[in-house]
Amino acid sequence: MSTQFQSLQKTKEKPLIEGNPTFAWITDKISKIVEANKAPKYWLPALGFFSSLLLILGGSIGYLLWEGVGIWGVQVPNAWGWAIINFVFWVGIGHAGTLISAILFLFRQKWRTSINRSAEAMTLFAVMCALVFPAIHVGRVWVVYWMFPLPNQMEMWPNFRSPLLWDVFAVNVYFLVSLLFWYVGLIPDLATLRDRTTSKIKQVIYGVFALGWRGGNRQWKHYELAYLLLAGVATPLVLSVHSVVSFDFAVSQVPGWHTTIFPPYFVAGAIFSGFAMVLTLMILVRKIYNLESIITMAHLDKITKVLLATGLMVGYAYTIEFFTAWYSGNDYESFIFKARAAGPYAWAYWIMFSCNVFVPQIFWFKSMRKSIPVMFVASILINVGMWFERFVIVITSLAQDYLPSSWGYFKPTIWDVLTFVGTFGLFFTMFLLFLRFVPMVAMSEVKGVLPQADPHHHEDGHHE
Amino acid sequence: MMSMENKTQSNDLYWRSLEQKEGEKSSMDFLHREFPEGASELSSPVSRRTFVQLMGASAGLAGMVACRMPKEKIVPYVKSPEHLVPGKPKYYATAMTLGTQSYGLLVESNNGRPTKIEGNPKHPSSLGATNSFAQASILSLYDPSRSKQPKKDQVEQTWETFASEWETLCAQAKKNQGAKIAILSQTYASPSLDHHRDVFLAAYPKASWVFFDGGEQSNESAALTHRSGGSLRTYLNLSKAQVVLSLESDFLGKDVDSVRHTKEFSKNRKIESTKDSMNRLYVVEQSYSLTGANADHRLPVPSSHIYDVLVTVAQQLNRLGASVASLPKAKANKTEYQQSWISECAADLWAHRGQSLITVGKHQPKEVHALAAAINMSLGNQNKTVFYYKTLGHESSVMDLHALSEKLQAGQIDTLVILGGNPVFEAPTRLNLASLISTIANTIHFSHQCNETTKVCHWHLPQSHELESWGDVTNVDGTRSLIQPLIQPLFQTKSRLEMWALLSSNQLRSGYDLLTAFANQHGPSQNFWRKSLIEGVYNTGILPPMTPEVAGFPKVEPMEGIVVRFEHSSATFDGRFAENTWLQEAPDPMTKVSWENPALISPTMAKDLGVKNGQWISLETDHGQIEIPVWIMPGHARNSITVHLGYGREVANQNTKGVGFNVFPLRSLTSMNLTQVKNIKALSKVTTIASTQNHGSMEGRPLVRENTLEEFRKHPEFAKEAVEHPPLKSLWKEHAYEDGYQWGMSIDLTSCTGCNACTVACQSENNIPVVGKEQVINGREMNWIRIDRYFNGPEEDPMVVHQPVACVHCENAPCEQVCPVNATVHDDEGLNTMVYNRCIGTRYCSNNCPYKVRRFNFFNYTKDTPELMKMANNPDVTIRFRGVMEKCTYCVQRIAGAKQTAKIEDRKVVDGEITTACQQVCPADAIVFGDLSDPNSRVSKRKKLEQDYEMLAELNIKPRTSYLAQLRNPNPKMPSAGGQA
Repeated sequence: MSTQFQSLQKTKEKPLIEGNPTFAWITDKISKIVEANKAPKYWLPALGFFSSLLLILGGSIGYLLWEGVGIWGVQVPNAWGWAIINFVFWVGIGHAGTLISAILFLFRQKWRTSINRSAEAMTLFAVMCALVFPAIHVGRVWVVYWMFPLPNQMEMWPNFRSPLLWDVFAVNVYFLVSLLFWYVGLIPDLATLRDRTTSKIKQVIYGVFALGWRGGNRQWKHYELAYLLLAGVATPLVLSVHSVVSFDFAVSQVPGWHTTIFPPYFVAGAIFSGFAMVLTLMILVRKIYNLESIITMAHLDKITKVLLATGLMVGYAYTIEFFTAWYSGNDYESFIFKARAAGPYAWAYWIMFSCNVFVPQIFWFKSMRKSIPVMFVASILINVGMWFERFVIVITSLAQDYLPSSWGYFKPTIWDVLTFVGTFGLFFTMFLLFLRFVPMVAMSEVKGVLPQADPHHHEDGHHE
Repeated sequence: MMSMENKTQSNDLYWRSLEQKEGEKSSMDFLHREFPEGASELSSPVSRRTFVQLMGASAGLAGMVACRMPKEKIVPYVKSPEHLVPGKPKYYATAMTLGTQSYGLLVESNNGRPTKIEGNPKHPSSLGATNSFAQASILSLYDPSRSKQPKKDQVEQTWETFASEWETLCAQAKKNQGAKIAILSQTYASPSLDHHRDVFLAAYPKASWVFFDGGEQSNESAALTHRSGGSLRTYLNLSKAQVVLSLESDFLGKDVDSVRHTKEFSKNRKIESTKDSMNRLYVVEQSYSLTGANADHRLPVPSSHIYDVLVTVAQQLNRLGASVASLPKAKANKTEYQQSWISECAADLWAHRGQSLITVGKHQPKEVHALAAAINMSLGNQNKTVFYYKTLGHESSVMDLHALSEKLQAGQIDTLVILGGNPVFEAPTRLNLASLISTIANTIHFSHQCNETTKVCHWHLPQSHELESWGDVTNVDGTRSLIQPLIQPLFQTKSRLEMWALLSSNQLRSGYDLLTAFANQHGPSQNFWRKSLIEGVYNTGILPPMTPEVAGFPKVEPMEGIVVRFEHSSATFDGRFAENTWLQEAPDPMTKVSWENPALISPTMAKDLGVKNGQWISLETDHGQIEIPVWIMPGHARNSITVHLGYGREVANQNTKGVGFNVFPLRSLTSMNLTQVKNIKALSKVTTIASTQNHGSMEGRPLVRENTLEEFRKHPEFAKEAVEHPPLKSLWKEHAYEDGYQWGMSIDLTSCTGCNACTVACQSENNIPVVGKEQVINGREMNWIRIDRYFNGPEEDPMVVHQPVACVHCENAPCEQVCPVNATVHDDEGLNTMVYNRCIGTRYCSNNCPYKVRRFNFFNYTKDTPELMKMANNPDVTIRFRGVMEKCTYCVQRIAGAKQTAKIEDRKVVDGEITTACQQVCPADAIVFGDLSDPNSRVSKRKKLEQDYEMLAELNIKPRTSYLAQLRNPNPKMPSAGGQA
């Protein structure tokens, strides 16, 4: 590679981390957040608020278990309601983390290092929120384990033709692999914390979780191979989990659900909502923890571009659905799409459409991609829109299916709302604890993308 | 508790020890605490220690519950009754009365408790089927709010006390020949009751005995009199009628004899080939009735205009050659459409002389009855399609009630006995019955339940349910049946017969003794008795048909302005079933409203008033004013309102108290059936009405496939060709059935009237819980078979179709595929079974069911079922717990029962041996169930008919229940403004 070209590249590409910091500065900067005796002043009130919401979740679930799912608005024909909407919503949010860490890792997108740790944490917490719902939405929670293929004396097995069962496997596998991937990424940083701390207790705890990491060459070699392999395992899961979630709908024969476009449409929507959530969180985190030099405007810019791209994809899906409904010649199918846009739930449909298709269009403009308030509001609107997308899919199709005699109008109850709000309590409580006790930026990886991390750059250049 | 504590506090004079006397704290503590540790914590509401302890203990001991066996006494018979096999039900014939109407029943008894009611095929008014009232009456038997004991002024008494008090009263009454005794009774037609009534009236010749039922008042007997005196009533023979004109006669619906009518009428609507013919039904009515829904032509006119329509019919017939004498002039302001509708209808009637029939709603004024009789006679229908029989039993008379109230007012009565019913609630408010009754010295109310009338009477005497009673009853045609008890009275109640005997002869004799004594003289002879009891009917000769005297027909000006019609309710009848929750929950077949009786108005009238569904109006007549929400009913006549009687009770059991709206205050002596509206005003209040079907249009979907007979003859395949779809291929390997039974069902939409009997029968057979109004509004009703009702055509004059929908047992069942735990699976006889034990309640099956026939236990609906009501449960059917999906099983318990019998007898199940509950109750024989693998079974033959189709077959789900398309037989000459496609 000619030096001329290299210099050309240098002029073009801004450094991923601003201010050309040293390794030590980075270690210090990130570790001190965890090591500090006092959290930033917003931390404790925020934890108090969100853990109260978490209590609401607990209370709502308690009442649900006591009384039955009748406390929700579910009925016939809408046998699924907010629980499933929220499940899909949270699983969708749980998409960005693993996408950022695994797929972008495989694609050598080095900018991911600044945000992958917290995005992955977000994924885990979102999937935890999601997993609450399939467990509690069933009528008899105490036998929900029958969903798993557990050997038993009656030789009763789950029904492997049911998409709901595939879902159980898909989401659980996704959660486990994401957790593993996140944890493996954490090991060098945990070792750093272990080495820095002066407290005996912390030393033991970090020591146990650091799994005896010494930072030796052999360890790095194995570690990086393992990380690569895990990224390889996680990558198909990113695509599969939401495809399988979409099968819950696509494999059934309800008009408006039974469409082949669902898997890619759901995956695009999931990435869309996941990145929107990452954007919301990163804007807050970089500000509160003064990480503007590590999570730079360039990062935010890239996230908004992903939002724009995936927003266009879901917009395409929304539009093409009308075409397929019409082209299929299936009256039930065309009816439901007309009903979505102009029927009793048109309000929900247009909230969805505006938030998901119109809002991201502002990111065509560079000025918008530079404005923190605009990005913040847009990211929240997108997630509102994505919740309504699931609302439109789950509710409208069931409300008006084959026999008009059974048509109904779904009305949520206070318990639907409280349970949903409660999951935000779970999500943010977990996230706040993560910020306090775990290094929120992957120190070792960030150091790896600094220019000085490449002492043999010229020698290696030939092999690239 | 309180008084005890006070005692110990004031007890300071006595002391137990010196320490106590000196008031040492520790001893006071000791005194306070009989158990020093923890005792006061237990009684004090919340202490942290106790709370934690109890929580810990309850969590720890929660697992111990399973360690203790529930205590249940199972005591074998010391002497086992003959033929009684535990677990095997027995069937007994009995009868049920509804006013002067009776239904012959076969009641299933499981180990001594009646659980299910079927029709007695030998009884002329049942013919093997029943209606929803008969089905639901089993629930009334086990209603825990039934009166349990005689009471005087709220104090519990015994029957003996009452008998002795009655003896004293009688002794006094003897002096003036009973002039101060009045009896107010519900109507009945029973020879044994009449016998005791005669005895009573012989002893007290001056006593007055008044009959009053609160519902629609029949004007028939006033119009149809016999030369020899006495009144007559009509008896329709629909099996002979080819052309029927119904003038607000809901003979297929709310008419008490609708079971027989439906049996006969539907026989003439069974189309098995293109060569078959069909009868034709014209209906003129105000409110859309079931009869109207089954009509080939329907003309909505206000109830007050019926006479005018009939006069026009008569004029047309006279023009064609009939001779209906002395007709008044019809009012001319009919639209051209109405005019030609009537003349074509008249022409059709004339063309079918001797095979036609005009039937009139009993509530219509007597002029209408008289004119209809004259026309029927002139058409030569008498003794062919319509018979006139001597009126048996006693008819309700509001004028007699009025006379009685005047006597009460004048203080001429000191003893009033009210036998059944709730006259205080139902009588016209002007009579002021409540306050009049409370001034009477001796008032006695005999009824099943405490109601508004009980409140104003001194004595309350509990009445036995008919399933606990001995008795007899005469049917309209003269057939008699015996009422035999299925169970000992559950409480200290007396049957009607026992009560009548007590009144007439001061004797507390058992019903059995009374009935056998009566039967020995007047009833079936000794040898005949047993046979009559087993068969349920005995004849003392069918009545001879008579000819009514028909006087002239006065000119009657139709009421101007808006009229309000008081109609029986499909749920409460005239109010007597108001406390029956099965009936309350069963949606009205036409409005699909349950638990309520909103005022029905036409869409145009709603527009004029500016009201929407559920919006309240204030309705004022000359006699009273009420506020009531409206329900917009397409096809309802303009300028008229229909309200249903029997709702809005203030004194009722806890489930039905305050349900619906009391419309009785609008009525007066002269306007018991119909009255003019003085003032109507829309209010701003809007409430949600509980309706099980919110969308009335089929949206052009081929769900109910309908055609005319004529078109069917030209295109017999129309129903199958209604849907085009690509060739169907299954994703899965389909079930291969080698041998054994293949269950299937066929429902004939042409026969089905939509009467709801199947819904209630299914509820009784399959232990389906009642969920209440709130849950119905939430869309959580549990009925396994529902009847979908769709409108077709213009809002003001649409046609209506009904379609019973239960689980259709798809061969490629979409529910089975999506259940993650295999809780709904196919069995090797083709049933789509539901394994309650395995179900975890994901509700995915319900979502994927295109028919939405699956029902979910959102709550533990049976948690609060009273012990007594549990006795109504079918022991062969599991009670479903919270969180479990349920649905129609094709009455799998009946299938299993028949298969067991067949196996014991080493044979195959014979076609017709298994009837599902819905099939058995159906008066139209619309439902046929059987083995599809047998090409000669009735169901297989039905499915081979040309008009057979499978709803949503294009989804390749292969439903096992198929439908026979609805065929109508419209008159081709009729003007086409109606909804006929």
